[in-house]
Amino acid sequence: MIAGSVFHSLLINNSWGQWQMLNFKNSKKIIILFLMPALAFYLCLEIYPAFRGIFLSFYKWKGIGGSEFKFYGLNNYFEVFKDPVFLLSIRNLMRFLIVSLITQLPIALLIGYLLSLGLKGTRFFKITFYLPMILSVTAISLLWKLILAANYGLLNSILTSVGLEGLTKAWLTDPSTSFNSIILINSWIHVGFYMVILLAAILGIPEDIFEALKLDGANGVVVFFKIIIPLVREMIGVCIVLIMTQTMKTFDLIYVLTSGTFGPNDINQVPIGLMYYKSFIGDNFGNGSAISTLVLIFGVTISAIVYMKVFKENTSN
Amino acid sequence: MRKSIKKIVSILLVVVMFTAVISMFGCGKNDPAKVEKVTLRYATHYSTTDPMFAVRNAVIEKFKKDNPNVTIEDENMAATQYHDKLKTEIASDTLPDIFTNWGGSEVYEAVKAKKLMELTEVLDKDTAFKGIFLDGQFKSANLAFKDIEGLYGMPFNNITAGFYYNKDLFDKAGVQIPKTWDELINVVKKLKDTGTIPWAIGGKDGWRVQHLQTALAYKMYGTKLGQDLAERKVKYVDTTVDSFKRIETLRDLGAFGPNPASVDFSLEQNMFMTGKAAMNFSLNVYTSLFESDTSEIKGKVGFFPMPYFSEKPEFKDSVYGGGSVVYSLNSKLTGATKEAAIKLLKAFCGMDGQKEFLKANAIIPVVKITDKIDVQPLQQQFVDQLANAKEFAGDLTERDTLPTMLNKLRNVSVGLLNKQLTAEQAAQEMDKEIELNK
Repeated sequence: MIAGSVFHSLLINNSWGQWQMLNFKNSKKIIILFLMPALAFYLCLEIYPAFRGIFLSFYKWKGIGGSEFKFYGLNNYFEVFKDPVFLLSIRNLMRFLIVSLITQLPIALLIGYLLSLGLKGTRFFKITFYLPMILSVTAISLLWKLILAANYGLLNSILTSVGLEGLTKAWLTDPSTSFNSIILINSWIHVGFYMVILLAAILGIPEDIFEALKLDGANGVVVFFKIIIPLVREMIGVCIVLIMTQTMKTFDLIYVLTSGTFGPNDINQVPIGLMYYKSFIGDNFGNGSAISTLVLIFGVTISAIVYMKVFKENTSN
Repeated sequence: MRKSIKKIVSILLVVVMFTAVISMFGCGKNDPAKVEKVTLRYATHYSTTDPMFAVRNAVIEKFKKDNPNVTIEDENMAATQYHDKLKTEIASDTLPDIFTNWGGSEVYEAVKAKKLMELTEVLDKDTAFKGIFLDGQFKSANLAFKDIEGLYGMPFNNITAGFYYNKDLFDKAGVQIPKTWDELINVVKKLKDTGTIPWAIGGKDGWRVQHLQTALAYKMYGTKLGQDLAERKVKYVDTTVDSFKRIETLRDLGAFGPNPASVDFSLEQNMFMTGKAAMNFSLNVYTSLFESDTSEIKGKVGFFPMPYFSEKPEFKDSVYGGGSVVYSLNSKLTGATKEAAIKLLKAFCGMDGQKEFLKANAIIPVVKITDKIDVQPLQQQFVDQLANAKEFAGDLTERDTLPTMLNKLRNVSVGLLNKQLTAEQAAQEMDKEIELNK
């Protein structure tokens, strides 16, 4: 029935008896139909698992079909908050979020601005900065493992060869450098992505504004701070949300860099890693789901605050 | 009329004859049409450099040849990833038809939920097969579950750990094989004086330090310690601080070289095989690797057991080792698939398979092999160590039903080596883990 009406909406018989395509932008039925597959995937693969996770967080379950499944109230949450490793993972996540924002956003904005000037070699730099984004995280992690290895790594070899042997470290296992190394590698991977978003936003600023500023004799710094930043403010907000959600979801990079241990001795643990550990190593899907629910609440809250802040101010402006 | 009757009779005779011939063919045991085609998902955990890997492949090839009706879907991956795969497949109820595992707490919940086939019937139906196993092999800790009766894994191999040492480097340092802890410390100091790294350890991989910690703990308290800890009769803080302290002592002496917590297992082996390190405390399965053509120390490798503590002579022969890998079957198997899986299980755990693995110096067998098989002298010393042990046991957490304990022990052992934790803190962390999961 629906298919029939859709068919008639798509094709009409014109006055010469020929079938021709109809502009169906205004047909709600067709729009809904085309959105259905994407919606189905979204509901099945994103929304349902999220709600299922919230549901499981109130139950005690070993994660094995046929094993005991009993209502546990808020006990999973109490247990999680009692775990010192969870508290450590939250501290790590906070550090991860802050350092990622501090490193990725300004660098991406600055590079985006420089590339928008149309200098020589712009295309080369665009590709180069974006390259880590299209490579597999596993491959990148292995590459960095080789660079940062304590005993045969490239970085320590370079430091030794230039007489800076005192600066060599076991970068990925020394507690003072391990997590920072991971954060910086993550920033290195993603900065290109945000650069592209911000570059597009900068290129979207009307040319006459720049010309007017040129006539007024404004220098690059003034243009950057007084024009670029305020005009791409909305896109910066989007980037902040994307950086935060990406950071909260980071699992594979840490997993490979720490050989699956998130250590040594949990020093690189993050909530998502702990969720995996609790569920699949500890056979405690209740605890694991409680952690994922907390991450979800945290993510949604932060995103909402950023969006409200950015968009509300933009609307009032 | 008579002619047509004759014709009909002769046609009938021909039909009867054909039917008889066809049904006789049908009676034939080897009629391929009668043999049900079976597909088995077979999962194992060997790295491609593992001496067991080549033998495993040869056994599979022979099995396929002998059983053309069986198609094997081979799923092999290195142990680290395999542990994750196993846990995920247990959780998603998609366990392979036949698969290797280490028994113990890792599969405890799956056994409890009846996901693994109970194998007592397999043994009872084939007494000849049952009779080949070593005495006490089925009582191995990794097969015994506290509150569950039955057999859920067929023993495949035993393991034990000891010291490999470089004879040349020992001669250069003028040291002899140490028998006691104090002698070991002396050897470490003298080796260090020669500029050699005394002892290669891959502290980045938690299991390397944990094996050492467990071996030391057994020399101090005997193998019963594991059981007492699992039954919560004793606390880690009261019984394991000493073993952690010994690792601290070795670390502070520089026994493991600089940054041992950043050395992974492959680098550890490389350090020993290239003569950069003089000793390596490791499992018997690596004898053939150290004596292979790729090894720079081929022919120079010796063995000695973990030295004992002179103040604890009663535990001199308490050894880290015993039942290791087992083969388990998915409890959902029925009919021809079940029969094929049992056949494949016997190909590995049975006499023929075990002999093949022993010939390659890849395992300490679980069966009584009476034939004379030439085994590398180094491997033989490991076999003898286990055979002559007063008592032996696997990982300290082997009998624990809390699945995170082994991981926790590995984590704190690495933390100790990395100076993140003291010996006391490492033991306290273990008790905290129990407290947290009460």
